[in-house]
Amino acid sequence: MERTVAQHDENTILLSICSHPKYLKLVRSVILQSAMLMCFSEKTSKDVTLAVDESLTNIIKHSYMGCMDKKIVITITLHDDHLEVKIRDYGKKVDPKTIKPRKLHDVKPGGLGVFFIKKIMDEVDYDISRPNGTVLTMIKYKDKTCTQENTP
Amino acid sequence: MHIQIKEQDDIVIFQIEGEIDLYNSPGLRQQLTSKITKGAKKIIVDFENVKYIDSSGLATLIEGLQKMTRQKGIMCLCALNQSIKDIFEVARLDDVFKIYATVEEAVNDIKK
Repeated sequence: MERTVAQHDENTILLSICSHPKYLKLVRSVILQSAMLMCFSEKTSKDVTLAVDESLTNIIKHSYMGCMDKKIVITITLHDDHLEVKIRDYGKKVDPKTIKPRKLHDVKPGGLGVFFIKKIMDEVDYDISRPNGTVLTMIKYKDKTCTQENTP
Repeated sequence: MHIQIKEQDDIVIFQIEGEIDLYNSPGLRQQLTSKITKGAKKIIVDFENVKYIDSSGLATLIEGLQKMTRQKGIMCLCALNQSIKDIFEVARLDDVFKIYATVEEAVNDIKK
């Protein structure tokens, strides 16, 4: 049966923000609470929050080159065994092959965001097939540290 | 984020409160750079009331450390909470920065 406009998937949270860094704190709060709701441990929930924050930071800096009035749509889906975060931007496409973390021994400002994203998330995919912008999909699977006791 | 700067003899202590991210780190960078440019030789960044840091904040600290090293100064950190300690360890920055448990410990060590 086709859904009406008023219907919404009960496991999906949709955020649409502009590319102003003042909204990062707001998104972090939603991601942290979503991960805790899925019974991820506090540490994993904070890690996932960092990864999403770093992704948004990269979009603001590189896709939108610091413009603060562009659209970013974040879709958080709470699946049974994993948390999925999709981030859609409409800015400059970045060739996924060029997105590489810096080497940790090469200490310099910058380059750590991608390192955190890849270190923390189980799956990271950049889809640049759309006419404009990128859809970044990140997945974190539940593991044995996920228990009901972690529920806030 | 709120920054309070205290001076104790030749030591400049940055007491930061809040979260250090892309929104806040330019303010920290500006204040750190200002003190370094004015010739600060010893800087302590007190994390006791810092709840969160991302790569923008880390980049700001690395930049500050590199500037201080170039002018033969000392920059160290103290009172990191466990979440922030974990971030420094994962990025292997716990080997790059001198990190103390408390501001008193940092002051006592660097004033020698």
